[in-house]
Amino acid sequence: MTFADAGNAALLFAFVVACYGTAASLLAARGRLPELLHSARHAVVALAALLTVAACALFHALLTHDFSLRYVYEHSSRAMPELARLTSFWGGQQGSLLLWAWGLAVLSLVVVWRLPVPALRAASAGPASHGGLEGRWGDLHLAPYVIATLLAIQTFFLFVLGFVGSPFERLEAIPSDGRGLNPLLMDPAMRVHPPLLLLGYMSFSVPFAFAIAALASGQVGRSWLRAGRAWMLLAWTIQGCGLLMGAWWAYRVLGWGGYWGWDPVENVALLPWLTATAFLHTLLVQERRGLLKVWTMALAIATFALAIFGTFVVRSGVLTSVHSFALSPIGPYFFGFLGVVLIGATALLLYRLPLLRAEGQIDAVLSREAGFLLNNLLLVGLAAAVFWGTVFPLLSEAVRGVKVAVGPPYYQQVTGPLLVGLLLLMGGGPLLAWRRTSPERLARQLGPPLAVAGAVGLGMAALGIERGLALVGAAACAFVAATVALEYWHGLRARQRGGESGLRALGTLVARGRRRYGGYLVHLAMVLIAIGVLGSGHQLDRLVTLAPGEQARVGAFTLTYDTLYELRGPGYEGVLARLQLGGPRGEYLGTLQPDRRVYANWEQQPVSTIAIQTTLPWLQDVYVVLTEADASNRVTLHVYVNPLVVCVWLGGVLFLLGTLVAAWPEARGPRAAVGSAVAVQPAATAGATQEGA
Amino acid sequence: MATHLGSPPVSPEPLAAAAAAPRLAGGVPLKLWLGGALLLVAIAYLVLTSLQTSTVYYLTVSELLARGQAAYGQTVRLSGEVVDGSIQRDRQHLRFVLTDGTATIPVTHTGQVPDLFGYRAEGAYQEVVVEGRYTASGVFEARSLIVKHGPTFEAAQ
Repeated sequence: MTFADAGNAALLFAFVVACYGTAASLLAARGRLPELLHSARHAVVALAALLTVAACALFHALLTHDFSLRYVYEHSSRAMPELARLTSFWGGQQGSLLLWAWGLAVLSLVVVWRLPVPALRAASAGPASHGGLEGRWGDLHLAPYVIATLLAIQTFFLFVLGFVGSPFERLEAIPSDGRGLNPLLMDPAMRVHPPLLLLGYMSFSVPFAFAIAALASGQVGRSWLRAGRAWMLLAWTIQGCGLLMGAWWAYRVLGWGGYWGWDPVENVALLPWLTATAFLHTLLVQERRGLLKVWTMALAIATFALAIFGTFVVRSGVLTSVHSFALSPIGPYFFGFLGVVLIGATALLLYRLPLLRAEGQIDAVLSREAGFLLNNLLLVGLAAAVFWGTVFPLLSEAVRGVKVAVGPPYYQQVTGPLLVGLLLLMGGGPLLAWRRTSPERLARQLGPPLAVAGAVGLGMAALGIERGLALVGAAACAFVAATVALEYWHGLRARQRGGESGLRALGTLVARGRRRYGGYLVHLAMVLIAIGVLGSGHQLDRLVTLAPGEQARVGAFTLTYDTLYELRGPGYEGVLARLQLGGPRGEYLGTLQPDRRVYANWEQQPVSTIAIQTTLPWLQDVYVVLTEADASNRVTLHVYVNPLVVCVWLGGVLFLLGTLVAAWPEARGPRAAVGSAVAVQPAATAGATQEGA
Repeated sequence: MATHLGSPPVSPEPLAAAAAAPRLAGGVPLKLWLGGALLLVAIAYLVLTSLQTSTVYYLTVSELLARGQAAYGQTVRLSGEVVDGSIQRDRQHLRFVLTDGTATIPVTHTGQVPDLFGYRAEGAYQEVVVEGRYTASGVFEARSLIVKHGPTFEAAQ
C-alpha cells in the first residue's frame, strides 16, 4: 500500500467518522447524553488526524512526483522547484476542497477544545445539571449543536472528496512527467493568497455553527454573542487578508497595472466579507440594546451561504458560462448543499422568531443604533449589487438566451457612491450617542472633522484635481481620519487629566478599550485603502518602444533603456531589460529590471516579471512591463504611473494590526467586563467612564 | 449601565414624544423605515441604470457569420474559445482562430495582448471577447482583446 492509498483510505474513513459524529452529537443534544457528546468530541479529534494523513499523502505525492495520481499529473511537473510543487496542492479543485476540509477539521478541534466538557457523572442527575454552567465559548446547551453543525458541514465536503472528485484518483497509465502549474501561479504571493481565501471561506463555518446551535438550543443570549463575534472576527480577518493578498498578487504579477478587476472570482470572495462586516457591527447593537437580533442571525447565515457559494465558484467555472456548470461534476451537489443550508437555517430562524424579539426600540433617528442600521443597509446593498452583477450574465444567458458581459464600469458606477456613503458613516457614526443625540450636540461634534474635510477638499481642488469622485472621496477620507484622531485625542486627554503621561495613557487607553480603539484602527486602514483606490483613478499609461540608449518620458519621469540581458533559470528562459529611472529634475531614482520569460510546457504564454518602483514624495508607483523584445534588442514597454497604490498595501498592514488589537482577549478579572462596556461608549463619555472603572 | 456623562440627561418629554411617534415592526421608528426603504430603492435604481449603460452584449461566431455580408465593416463584440494550437504571434500581430463550437473565424489582433491570453480552462482554451470589425476578407480585425478569467489554469498543449 502506498502513501497515496493510505490518504484515500483516510478520506473514506473520515467520511464515516464524520457521519457518526454528526449523529452522535445530535443524539447527545436531544437526549442530553454526555457520553455521546464525549464520543462526538473524539470523532472531531479523529477527523483532524485522518485529514492530516490525507493532506500529508497529497503533499508526499506532489513532492515525490507520483504521476500515477491524476491530480499530481495535472498540477505539477518535474521541472518545478519543491516549494512550487507544494503550491500545487491548492492548484485545482480537489486539492482546494481537501485544504478546506483539512482546515475545518483542525479549526473544529480548536473550537471543541474551547467548548465546555460535560461531566460524565452528571448524566444521572438529569437536565438540571446543564443549567448555569457558563463555558468559555458557550454554555453546555450550545456545545452538541456546534459540534453537530461543524461535522455535518465536514460530512458534505468529505462526501464530495471521497465519492465525486477525489484528489487520489489514479490514472490508467503512468505518465513520465506532469503538465505543471501555470507560471503565473508560481509567484510567492500566490502561495499564500488562495489558501488564505479558502481558509477564510472555511472559517465562516464556525460562527455559522454557533448561530445554528443558538437557534437549535434556543439559547440565543450572551454565550452565542461572544462566540459568534470572536469566530466571525477571525474568519473576517483571514478573508480580508486573503483579498488583499489577491490584490497584491494581481498587481505584481498580472501586468495590467491594476489590482482589482471586478472579476467573478474576486467578487464572490468579497461578498461574505461584506456581510461579515455588517454582522460585526450589528452585533454591537444587539449586545448593547438587545435589538436587531433576527437580522444578526440572518447575516451569520447569509455569510456562510456566500462562503459556500464562493468556495464552489472559485474552482468550478460555473460563472464563465452556463455550459461549464453542466460539465462540473460537483455543481449539483454544491447547489443541493447550499439549498439545504439556506432552507434549513431559515426554517430554524422562523421557528425561533419568538425568542428573538427586540428588547427595546430605536428611540431616535439620530442615534448610534440607527447609524449601525444604515451602515448595514449600505454594506448589504453593496453585497447585493456585486452579487447581482456577478450572476447577471448567467441569468441573462439562461433566461433570455442573450449573452452579456458586466464589466468594471458597472461596479465602479454602483460601488462608488455606496463606498463614499460608508466612509461618511464611518466618520459620523462614532459621534452618535446610543439612544439619541441632540442635533445641536451632533453639530458641535461634527464641526472640527467637517472643517478638516472641507479644507482637504478645497486643497485638492486648488492642486488642480477635477474629478468629482476624487474630491468627494478625499474629503470623506479626511473626515473619517479627523474623527478617529479626535476620538483618540479625547480619550487621551481624559486619561492625562487622570495623571498619566502621554505614551502610558495611549497604552492604557487602547488596552482598556481594545474593541473600540482597534476598530478605529481598522477604520483608518479603510481610509488608507480608499485613498489608494481613489489614486488609481489617476493612472497614466503609455506604450513605448525603445532602442538601447534611448529615453522616454512618462508623466514626470524619464526612463533610459540601457541594455538587454539573456535570462536562464530552472524551467524557463527569457530576456531582461535594464532601465534607469529619472525624476522630474533628471535625478536618478533607481534601476528597473523588467523581464519576460517563457516556461517549459508553457511556450504559448510568455510571462512578464514586472518592475515596480515607488517614488517619493507623491507615492507614485512606476510600473514597467516588458511586452516585447526583438532581434535588434529593441524593447516595447508598457509603462504605468500609479499614484498612491502603495496606500492600499499600507492599509492592509494597518487592517491586520487593528483587528489584532480588537481581537486580543480582554484582560481577565472583573476589569474585563468594564473594559468591554467602555468599548461601546459614545465619544465624549468614554474618558469619564474609564475613570469610573 | 453607565450614564451619558458628556450629554445633558435626556428629559422625559422627548421620550414620551418618541413613544407616541408611529412605529413599525422591530421597534424601529417609521422615519427610519422610510429612510431605509428609500435607500434600498436608490441602490436598486443605481444597479439597474448601471446595468443598462455598462453591460456589453456580444455575438457568437455563428451569429456573426449568419449575418453574412451585412456584417462587413460593423463594429461588434464577438465571444468564443480560441481553437487549440491556432495561436501565432509575431512582432506586429497576434493571429488565432475563434470558435463557438460550431463555426470558426480567423482573428487578427494588433496591440496589447493580456498576459492571461493562451490558457486552457476546463479542457479548452479560455474564452475571450474581441471587439473589432468583420472584414470582407473573412478575417475579424480586433482592436481589443479581453480574456475571460477562467477558474482553472492548465497548460496549453
